[in-house]
Amino acid sequence: MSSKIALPISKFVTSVKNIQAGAIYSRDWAPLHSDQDWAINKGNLPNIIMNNYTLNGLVIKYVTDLYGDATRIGKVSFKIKKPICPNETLEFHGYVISEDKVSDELSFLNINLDIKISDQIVSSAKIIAGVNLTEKKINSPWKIDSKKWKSYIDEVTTDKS
Amino acid sequence: MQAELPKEITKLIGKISFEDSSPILVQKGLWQNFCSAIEDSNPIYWNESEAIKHTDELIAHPALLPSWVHDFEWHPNRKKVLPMQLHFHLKEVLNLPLGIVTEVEIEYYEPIKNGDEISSNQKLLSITDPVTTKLGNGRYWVIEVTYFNQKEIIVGKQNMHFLGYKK
Repeated sequence: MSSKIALPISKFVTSVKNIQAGAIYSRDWAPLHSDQDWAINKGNLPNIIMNNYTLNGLVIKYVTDLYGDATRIGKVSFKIKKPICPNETLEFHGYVISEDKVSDELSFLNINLDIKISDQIVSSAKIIAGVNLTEKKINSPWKIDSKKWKSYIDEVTTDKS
Repeated sequence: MQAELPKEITKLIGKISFEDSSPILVQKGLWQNFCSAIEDSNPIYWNESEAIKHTDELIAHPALLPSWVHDFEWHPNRKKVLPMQLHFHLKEVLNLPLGIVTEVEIEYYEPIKNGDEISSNQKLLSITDPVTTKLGNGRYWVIEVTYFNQKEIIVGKQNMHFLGYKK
């Protein structure tokens, strides 16, 4: 498969509460993610901003929501281009760039994702995800031991570099 | 230009220079609160009877992997250990007081489960010649962080790309 395939768009509305909770429950104590007074008056920011872990969590959620609970994420890389503040609607625009079938029941999808606010890209991500695309889905990608799994990721990553 | 780097920095390239141990065990309550914040309903984080079909038991949200080695914000008996100590060390030695993350790459090998004890080590992979950016003058560097569980199995690896700079 060589042409890119557009995936359904998903949305997530940010709030002070979910940005703070994402930071606190990822044990990220930096005040720019949870202290509005600090962010605005000392951090020279418009408000608190979403941390890396929360953004990564949303990236992973986008893929597992689309491909099912058993989807196993192998690699995520992302860049943050603009800070993400409360009361914004994030739009997730994903594209499958390639599919590598490594066994009868396991395919690795290379997915590119743009995260937009009002048509402006605020972050971009690349994801490598293992999925069982067969109808019966008997064997979950999670059943693969970590050494074999790592070798698959290396193989798929090398193919794309 | 690479020769302009202090020896203290060049000797760090390719070598493990800092290690972190887990200040807490992996906790279901923390990851489920995180999933609640991002509205992630995947049952492998929430529902034991569904999770066993895939992962034998509930697993932590993968995005939290680096967070399990973060220290407490406050501790009764000691000072806080900063995350990414190598990054702060580079900033200090190179007199680049400001720093931002420009890119994150993370690979996941082994699922993280309730009660796991995660540790990590940090290695400087590369550092550039001096650069001039919109933010100021500085250097880019890449730090590799390898994460282990209590069985010394590598559970994941992260490359953090930074810009250290001054105005």
